[in-house]
Amino acid sequence: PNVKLVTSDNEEFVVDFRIAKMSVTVSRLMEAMNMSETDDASLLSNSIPLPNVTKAVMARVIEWCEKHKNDEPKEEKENDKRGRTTHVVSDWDKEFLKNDEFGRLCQLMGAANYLEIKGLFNDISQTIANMIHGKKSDEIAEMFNIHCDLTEAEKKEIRKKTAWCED
Amino acid sequence: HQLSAIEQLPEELVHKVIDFTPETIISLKLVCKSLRVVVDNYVRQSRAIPIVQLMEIHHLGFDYALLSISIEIFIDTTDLFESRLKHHLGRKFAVTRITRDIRKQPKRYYVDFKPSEDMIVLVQLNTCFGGMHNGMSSLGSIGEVQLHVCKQSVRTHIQCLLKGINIDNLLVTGNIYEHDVDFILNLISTHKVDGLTLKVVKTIVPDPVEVLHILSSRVRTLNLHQMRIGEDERAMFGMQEADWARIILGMFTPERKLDTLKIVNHVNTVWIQADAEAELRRSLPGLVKKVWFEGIRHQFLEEIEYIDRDYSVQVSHTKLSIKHTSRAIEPFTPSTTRITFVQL
Repeated sequence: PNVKLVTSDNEEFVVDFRIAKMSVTVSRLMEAMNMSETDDASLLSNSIPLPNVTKAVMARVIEWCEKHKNDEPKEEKENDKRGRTTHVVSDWDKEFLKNDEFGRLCQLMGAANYLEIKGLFNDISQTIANMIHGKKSDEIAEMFNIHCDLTEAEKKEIRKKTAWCED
Repeated sequence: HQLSAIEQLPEELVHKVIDFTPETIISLKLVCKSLRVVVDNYVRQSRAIPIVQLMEIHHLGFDYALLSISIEIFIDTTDLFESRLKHHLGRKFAVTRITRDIRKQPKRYYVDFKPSEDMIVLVQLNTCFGGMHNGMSSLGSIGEVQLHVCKQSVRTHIQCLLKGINIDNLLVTGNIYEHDVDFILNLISTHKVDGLTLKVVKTIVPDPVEVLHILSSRVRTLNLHQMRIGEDERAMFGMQEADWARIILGMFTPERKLDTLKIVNHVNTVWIQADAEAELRRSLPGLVKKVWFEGIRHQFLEEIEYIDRDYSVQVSHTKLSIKHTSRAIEPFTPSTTRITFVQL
């Protein structure tokens, strides 16, 4: 059975029921609209509105879901012994996310969060964290095209406040 | 100027990214004003990432009024922890000392304060550790905590400090009274303790066997370590000449959670008799539950090693070991997360 998803720019995507169920948000909406896998009429007569996702981003989300639709459920996040959250991004996912320029990656992250697709959300969070990891502030600014609006005095104040009092 | 893509992300999503790279908070603060605000808000919150690797809590002072906490922080969260400490405790009158020792790696921090003068310090420290006082529901675990306490009144402080934090292994050292057992059981259920280590001196409870059975129903791993008592060195967990084969088999019954047990007694090295050992060697390998058992004692028995019904059995002068073959090489405490409760 297929499910119809309608994006903010009015594009209709017809996806497999299993793919639709990968999104917690879509699952909840289908439940609220009494749409079930065994009731073809309910699936044909209804469509799920997704006002926070554009056509372009939805296409990327569906591409990711197609790849992962047969994955076994797994623990998405683990805390490592250094004190940070870690998530293993598979080689396929690395390649998949590499194709997106940073702005699109952020849009995809917003969509994964809205649609509640935990695996995709963690893949993107870990990917962005890996980009930031070990970089200085000016390198981060350059990488993400951020205009630094802090004055030298403000930077000095931040360094002073973040330094340990005995330093 | 136009905001960059990362600046346009909702703050909550940037916080999620920082969970994956908390060591970068200072670099991020120095990037631009908007990220500085996002990081400052991140610091104020309790997040579901582990911060504390080790915590020791002492009571000091003439009337034990001073609580002294020493904390070892995971390498990647030291900047976050320092920022949280400064944010929450920087100007607290009740805090008499905040110092750190950078010679140790990971860094160790010391916080002394008087809970009686400002109970809110406990709440704020809990937030620094990743606790749940700020109303969050999904929170992290703590590494290792050592509580050096001697008064029941301290328990409220301990509960406040550890609120919302899960603990894999709890270690209790000292004399065990009935009210201690209740407190330990409370900690086990509240903090989802999986393993318990009891380093006991005196055990003064009405029915020690019942206590062991209750504990065996609550935890998966139990380490029972009898320390030097001084008065009666033959006593073992409050019992003399007990039938340890019956007790141990009772601890491993199918309805109980326990599947890993280590018993150590370097004081009374003959705490278990040869016939009891023979009974364990006969009966433990028959269990369906994949049991891991090690008893440290001294017996002048012939050293043997064999496999019986998928169980590896080793007998030596110093140790009796009966382990399911699938767990034969498993270390005793695989978990790194541990809380230590030391009674003085």
